[in-house]
Amino acid sequence: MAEPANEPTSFWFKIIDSVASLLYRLGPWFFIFLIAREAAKVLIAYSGKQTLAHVAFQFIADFKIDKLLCYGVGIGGAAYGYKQKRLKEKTIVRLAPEGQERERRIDPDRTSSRLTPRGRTRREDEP
Amino acid sequence: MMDLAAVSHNLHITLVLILSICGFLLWRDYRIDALRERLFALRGELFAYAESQGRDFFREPAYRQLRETMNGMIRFSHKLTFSRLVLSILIFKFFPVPTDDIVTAWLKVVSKLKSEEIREQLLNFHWRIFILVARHLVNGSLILWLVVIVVGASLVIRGVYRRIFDVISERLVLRHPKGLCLLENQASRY
Repeated sequence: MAEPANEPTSFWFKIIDSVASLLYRLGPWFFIFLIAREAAKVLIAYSGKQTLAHVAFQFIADFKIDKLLCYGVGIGGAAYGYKQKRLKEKTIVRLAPEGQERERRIDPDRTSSRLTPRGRTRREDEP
Repeated sequence: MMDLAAVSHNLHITLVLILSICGFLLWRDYRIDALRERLFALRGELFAYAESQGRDFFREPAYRQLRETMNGMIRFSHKLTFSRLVLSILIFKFFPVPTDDIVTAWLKVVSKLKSEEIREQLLNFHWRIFILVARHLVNGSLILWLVVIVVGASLVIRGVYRRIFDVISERLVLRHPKGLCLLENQASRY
């Protein structure tokens, strides 16, 4: 099914790929930039009245127990998810070759998805 | 004038928003892994089905091409996004170029299969890939979610409206048949 596309189609596919990759990579950074700009505006509006050290001190002092718990639950949840992902990848490394080997015995010409042994996207396929 | 507490409050909101973006990035990776997992399971099912048809079936072009499609979808799952879909549709709408219609070519290969049962099974596998990918696209796009919610809500509202209308009409017919008969008589005389 993976026949090579003709010349003009390949050209447009490359254009689509480039634009989509740009959106994929820059999208989050664009929002981070917007958020940082708003934060900078707040700091600039306040600048001159007191030092950044005061702001930093107040920022840390505002970490009351409720906020700490919220941050803790959020970051803890993300860390748990990340650990689970790593565990899943280790399981893939351990179990996938067995399945591949079994399939290859039945169908020696079996084709592969060409993911990495951990089940990740190959570097050359990354957007 | 902004006081120190307000500045600190705004910075906390900033931090939460940045952490939300980090969460979104993790969620985006999870969605790709989840789609791959479902496609791997489907590919496993296809392999088991091919095995049940005998070893010669592994050489069948219809099977091999379908497996290639699944492999491609697994490999490029990270590229299956709504923005890419919209971009592709727009580009090929404004700059029409002849593309290789791979699906039609595959359908032709499938139609050459002798067994009706095998044809149906392979078409079913192909349909399931399409459903998995479509669900993945809808789940991952805020715009598509809004479309689904609006269309869903309008369908529900239309359904509820029709039901209420049916109930009222039914009651009218059952309770006041004479009045409706009079209207019908008048209408038939025009």
